[in-house]
Amino acid sequence: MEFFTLQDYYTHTKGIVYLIMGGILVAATLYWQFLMGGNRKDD
Amino acid sequence: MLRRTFLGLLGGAGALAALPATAGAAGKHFGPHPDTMAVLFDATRCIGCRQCEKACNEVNNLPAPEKPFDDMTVMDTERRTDDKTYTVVNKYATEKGGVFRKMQCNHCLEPACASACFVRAFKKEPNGAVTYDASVCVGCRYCMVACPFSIPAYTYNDPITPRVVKCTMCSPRLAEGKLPGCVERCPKEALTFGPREEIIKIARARIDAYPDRYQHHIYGEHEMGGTCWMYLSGAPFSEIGMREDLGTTSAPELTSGALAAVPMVVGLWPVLLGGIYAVSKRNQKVANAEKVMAVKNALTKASSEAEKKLSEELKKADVANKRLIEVEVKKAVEEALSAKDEDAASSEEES
Amino acid sequence: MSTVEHASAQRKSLFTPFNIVAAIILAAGLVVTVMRFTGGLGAVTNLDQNNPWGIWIGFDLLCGVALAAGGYTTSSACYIFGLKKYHAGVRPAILTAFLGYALVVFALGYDVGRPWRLPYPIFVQQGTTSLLFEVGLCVMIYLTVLFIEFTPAAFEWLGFKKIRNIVVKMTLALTIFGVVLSTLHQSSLGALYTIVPSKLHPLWYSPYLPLFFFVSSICAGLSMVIFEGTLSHKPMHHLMDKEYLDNHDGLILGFGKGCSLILFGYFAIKVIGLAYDNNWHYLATGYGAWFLVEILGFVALPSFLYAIGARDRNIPLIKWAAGLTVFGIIVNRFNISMVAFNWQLPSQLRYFPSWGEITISLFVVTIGVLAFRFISTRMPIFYEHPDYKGEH
Ligand code: SF4
Ligand code: SF4
Ligand code: SF4
Repeated sequence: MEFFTLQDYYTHTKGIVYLIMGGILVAATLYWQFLMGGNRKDD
Repeated sequence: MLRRTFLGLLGGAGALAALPATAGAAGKHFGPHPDTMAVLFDATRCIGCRQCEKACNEVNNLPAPEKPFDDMTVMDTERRTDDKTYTVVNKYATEKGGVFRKMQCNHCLEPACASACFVRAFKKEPNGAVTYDASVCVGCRYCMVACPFSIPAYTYNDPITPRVVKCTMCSPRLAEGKLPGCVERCPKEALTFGPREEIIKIARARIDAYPDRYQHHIYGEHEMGGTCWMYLSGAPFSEIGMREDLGTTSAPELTSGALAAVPMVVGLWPVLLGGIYAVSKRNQKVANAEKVMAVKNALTKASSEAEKKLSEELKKADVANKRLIEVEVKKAVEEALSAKDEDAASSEEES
Repeated sequence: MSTVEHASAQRKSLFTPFNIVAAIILAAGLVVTVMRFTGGLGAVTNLDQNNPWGIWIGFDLLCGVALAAGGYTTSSACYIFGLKKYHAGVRPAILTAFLGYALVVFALGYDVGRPWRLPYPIFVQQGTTSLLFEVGLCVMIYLTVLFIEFTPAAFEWLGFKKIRNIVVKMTLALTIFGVVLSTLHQSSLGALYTIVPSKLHPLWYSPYLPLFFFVSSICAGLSMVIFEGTLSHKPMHHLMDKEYLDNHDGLILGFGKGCSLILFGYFAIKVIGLAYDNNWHYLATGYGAWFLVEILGFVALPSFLYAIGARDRNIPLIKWAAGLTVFGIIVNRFNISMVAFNWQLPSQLRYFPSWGEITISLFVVTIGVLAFRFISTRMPIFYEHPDYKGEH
């Protein structure tokens, strides 16, 4: 994709970053549960 | 605890602020689209006839003005673009006498209005025009706040379909191969339309040809990242109502630092906060365990002490008992002995 | 006879001075509301082409969001930093924050031209380069998070045990989301103004604006919790349980101490901002004097008062410091959105709020107070529900 303004370029990249941010929030929650859910003996 | 963790927060936030302000644009250059058109306004040619205002009003079907376009008294006060006018010509008293200057949207190369709009209602067209789409506009008016040239206006008195109003660079006319209305009508050729590269060359050539007549600056070549409407003037630009302190940093660059920090917060805050949580929970657990241990210790200590005391008591009691027994025994023995003595004595008496 | 007496007694209790003032404001607000939505923004506001944002943004949005920061500061102190003794303060703070954000959105419905399009930026066309997009997105999600965080109180009131327990299990995740979202939109509100170096006075413009807004929002949140606990103490006293009352002074001391320190940091970064842009010479101007009033009188002074209050365990002094801090944050937001904005314009083109705008702002605040009173007198806010005692 070719961009002729910084403005269009940022619109594109920020759009992707916003989607990734949503993914990160979900992933962080799941990963936390994975991390804390193991052998509970010693914590 | 509160103090330490909040300090940690502050430190984290500080690290964010230190992010490079131009993250993301590094090493990239976005030239204007090769088809970008531009208009040059030459203040030394403008006679303040207001014909451009009239033409603009006609080609865009704008409502009729309060005072007709041939009434020159309106120029006694400085006006700006508003919800009924895309362009105005103002008169300024300068060191070079009265000077007229036309004002309309400058069609920035990196439009602040587009950068600010949260529904992308503005679009930078390949032909250079910055156009507005009222069908998505929410009416937050952030574009008006953001525009460094204070151009967009709002129809405040419309309750149902209020909209932003600004010059379109006659984008529909350009599509038909026509000139912008104001450019076409100007009787003095104070307005020149053409490809932006050409327009800059023309402007330079005029300055070179008449170095005494012009300020040696093409206003709009670099201001706020460059614009499609550019200006030549004999009087200093600040004297004809144009700000010379805008700088050359474009709007998207101004906000890129803050925008770059946003995803970092999302990425790192859960880690930081989760860590603090885990540590504080762990501390609490340790503290709790210590408490339990302390209670236990206290209990065992107390019970062992009690035992010791008991056995001591017992021992003491033993001793006392023994003494008592001894005494009793002694007493008994003594009694027995004395009885024996008495017996003996009596038996001695008897025998 | 007895029924007549009863009725008149009830009427008397309804006609308290507070209720009468509230009723007047509500009535006036409704009138202005009708004018606003039939005549447009121009009919009731002093907004014009040069001043597109007035107190509906400067007060209702900027101050509203900053002062509702008590929700994320209190809940993170309790659930993330493990300061369990502040637990009793969490519910009032969450309720205030939820109402605060709900009212911010409500007030935006007056300010934007076509309020029914407010979901457009999120669902129709996303202007991702706009800081306002970031604010809108976060406020929307955070309002949802706050609503979920508040529901356990409602569920306890209604007796929905199962779903209440499910929500309570999500507390940690919700709290962390809350802090992430708050960090983002609190700072983005400041970042809104990073696009206008040419219109905002240099003493208030700074590339650090997002950081200033975020840090000051923590102070605003902590101070608001103290301040508002004081306000609701008298009228709500009969509802407060022993845990709330026992911990109240401890909470005030702890928050006072924390706030003092953060105000110190806020003062420090304000000075750094001054140095970073080399704005010292502006201090000698009229705007400079006002700037000094702001950072000395409304940042340094409350920080110091808080410190003295915490050292001497002087609760009334801490409460005064909290009031001063809250007022100072309002002054700061007013400065950025109105006083120092468009400073380059001649005075006759500057903005001053109209009566209509002030009425709506009061109207919104009154609705908030009434809603808070309505909810906290019915649901377990200041006390623990007997079924769930000691469960934290
Ligand atoms: S002059 Fe203003 S309205 Fe026109 S394109 Fe530039 S920022 Fe947008
Ligand atoms: S008023 Fe309309 S065009 Fe301007 S920023 Fe808001 S949504 Fe975009
Ligand atoms: S370009 Fe068109 S819309 Fe813009 S001022 Fe000229 S006539 Fe008006």
